[in-house]
Amino acid sequence: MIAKKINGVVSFLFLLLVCILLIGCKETWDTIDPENFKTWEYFTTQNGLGSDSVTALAEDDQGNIWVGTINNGVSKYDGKEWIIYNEENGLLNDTVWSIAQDGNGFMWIGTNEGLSILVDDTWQHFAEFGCIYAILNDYHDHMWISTENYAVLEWDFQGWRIWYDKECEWCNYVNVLFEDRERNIWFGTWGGLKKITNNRITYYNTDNGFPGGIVWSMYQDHWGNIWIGVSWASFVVRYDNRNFEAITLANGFQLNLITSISSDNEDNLWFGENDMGAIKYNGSLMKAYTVKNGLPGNLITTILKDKEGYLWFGTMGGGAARYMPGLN
Amino acid sequence: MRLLVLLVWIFMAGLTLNAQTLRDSILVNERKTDRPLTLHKGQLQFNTGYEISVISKEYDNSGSTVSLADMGIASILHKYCLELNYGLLDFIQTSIALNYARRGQRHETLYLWTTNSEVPDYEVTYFDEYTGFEDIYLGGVFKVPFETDRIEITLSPGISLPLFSNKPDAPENSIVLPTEAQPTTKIVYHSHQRMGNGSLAVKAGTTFLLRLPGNINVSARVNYSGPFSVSKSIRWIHQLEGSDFIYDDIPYEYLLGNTWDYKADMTFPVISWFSATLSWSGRSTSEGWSEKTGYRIKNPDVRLSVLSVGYEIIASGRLWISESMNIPISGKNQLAPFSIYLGVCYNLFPFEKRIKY
Repeated sequence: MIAKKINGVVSFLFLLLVCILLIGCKETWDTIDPENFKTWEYFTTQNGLGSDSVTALAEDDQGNIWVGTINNGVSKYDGKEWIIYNEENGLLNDTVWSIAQDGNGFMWIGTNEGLSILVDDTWQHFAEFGCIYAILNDYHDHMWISTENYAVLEWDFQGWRIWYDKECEWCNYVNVLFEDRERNIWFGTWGGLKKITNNRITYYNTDNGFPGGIVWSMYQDHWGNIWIGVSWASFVVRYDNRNFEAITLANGFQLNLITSISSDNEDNLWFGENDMGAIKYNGSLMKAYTVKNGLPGNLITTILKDKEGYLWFGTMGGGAARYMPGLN
Repeated sequence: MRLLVLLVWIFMAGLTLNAQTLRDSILVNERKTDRPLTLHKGQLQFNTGYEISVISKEYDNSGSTVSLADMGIASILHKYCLELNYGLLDFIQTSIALNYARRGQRHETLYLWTTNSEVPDYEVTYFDEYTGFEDIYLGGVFKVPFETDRIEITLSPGISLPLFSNKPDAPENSIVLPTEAQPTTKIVYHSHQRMGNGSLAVKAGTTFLLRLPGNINVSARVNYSGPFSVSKSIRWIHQLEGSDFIYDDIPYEYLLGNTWDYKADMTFPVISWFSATLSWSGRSTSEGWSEKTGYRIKNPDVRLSVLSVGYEIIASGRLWISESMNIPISGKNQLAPFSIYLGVCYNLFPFEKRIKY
């Protein structure tokens, strides 16, 4: 009798154990297996990209990657295949410099000969703007475009507002449009930096601490610092809301052009350089990446971190590459 | 923890001077090979131990041995163990166990040149320090009722509780900026990791004991350990401001892998108070993931096989001393520690009537 009871207790415990084990088995099928994963994935004309000379990268709200090229329009990648939009199917010009998505989900493509907006499957063109260097969709869904003929234009749903600078002619050549976390809009120009806060403009140039140079790229890091890539300098500029500091680039070259700045999921900063690859900065140490480390080319034109955390590198001549840092 | 182990040792030494109980005679007449898999009813057992592990090699992804010593990055692990067992009935035992460990690992120093200078522009050292309590184990051992003179089988469910924080403390990185006399920038990345898993884990196991003629015991044990849920921890990022590092912690989630432990051993009494044990143990961990890098990355499968030789001395009916040497023989994606364990086990029947002399 006692043995039966004990047997029952043990059987119950055994069943309990099985239940616990089943609860303990958590789903793991949505993980990345580093042993069977390509750290680098390359996209060129060989596998569907419109051109190997990439000028711009953007991600839309569906997770599609848009790649602007220098001679074959823009290519859209949905994770499986590429769709090319160029002059043949309605784009204003085959040389694309900038891409952004507006609040309605329409893609704005800045080309050498004006702005093309893809509304559903039809194009709207604004050729009168001239070359479009940069496009920004800000927090309020206002669209900012840097143009050849009108300096900067802001679309605020009512109409276009022209941001022409009579005080500083060089400041009308805007390479970068950038919004920081405080919703300030920054213009990175040939004449320094401009910050727009509630329609009030603040200038940053060599008179008030900005080291100078033509601004080519801007990015805000985890700490709130704004990083500014300038042309032909041996440094990248860090602005901590008070001071500008020139951080020496650690690849030994005296003159660099920081074409693009982004960060990865581990909060390392990545600086794309003209002809010298990329540099990863962990907050205190820089490491140079070139084609030897997997980059598709050493002339990095643009870097994008997508929603999944992949870093996309656009290169001149080498196509684009998708990279997952941190695996190795 | 070392102090705690020492205090327990002193406590046990004091207890040895205590009065005996009638049931102590059970222990006096038991060699190691005579002992059942569960404690006797009313038996309280303290186990304390110290383990030192020399980590001079590791097994890589292909199972090949990589010499850490050759790279100058060997390290030592010190572990202090404490376990308390109590026999509720002759066939049910409860257990609680806690370990404290510490290890420092200095990685290979990197010398980086960014200019054409003769001396390196950067000297970078990574130093990882692991200290703290492991997760506390609570469990039981239930003897399966079809016991014979030759065979015993037990089931042992348990849980591992993350009572102590597993979140790493802020790093203590340092930098020496270059001067004319010393043109190299020297950076030390010093991390502070914890030893605990930080996750509630369920454990279950079974042990099979076969008593062979000649007082030789052969036993086989299988244990499973798996996470109960996804856990959270933090990683640290830093930024250099002048010569000062500032830090920020970033939360991330992870899921422990499922671990299977196997052990087979053979014990034989050389003389009545001295037994020798030869054993093989294996560990296999798979599944699990971490989002530490921002992606949900599967943990690498881990394997380790260890061969152990050891002995136990019955110093008195209550006090047993054991020592074992553990030699890694194969593995995958795992450090390969060579370790020596020294344990002291003290037994008593605290709730029995004392014999008055």
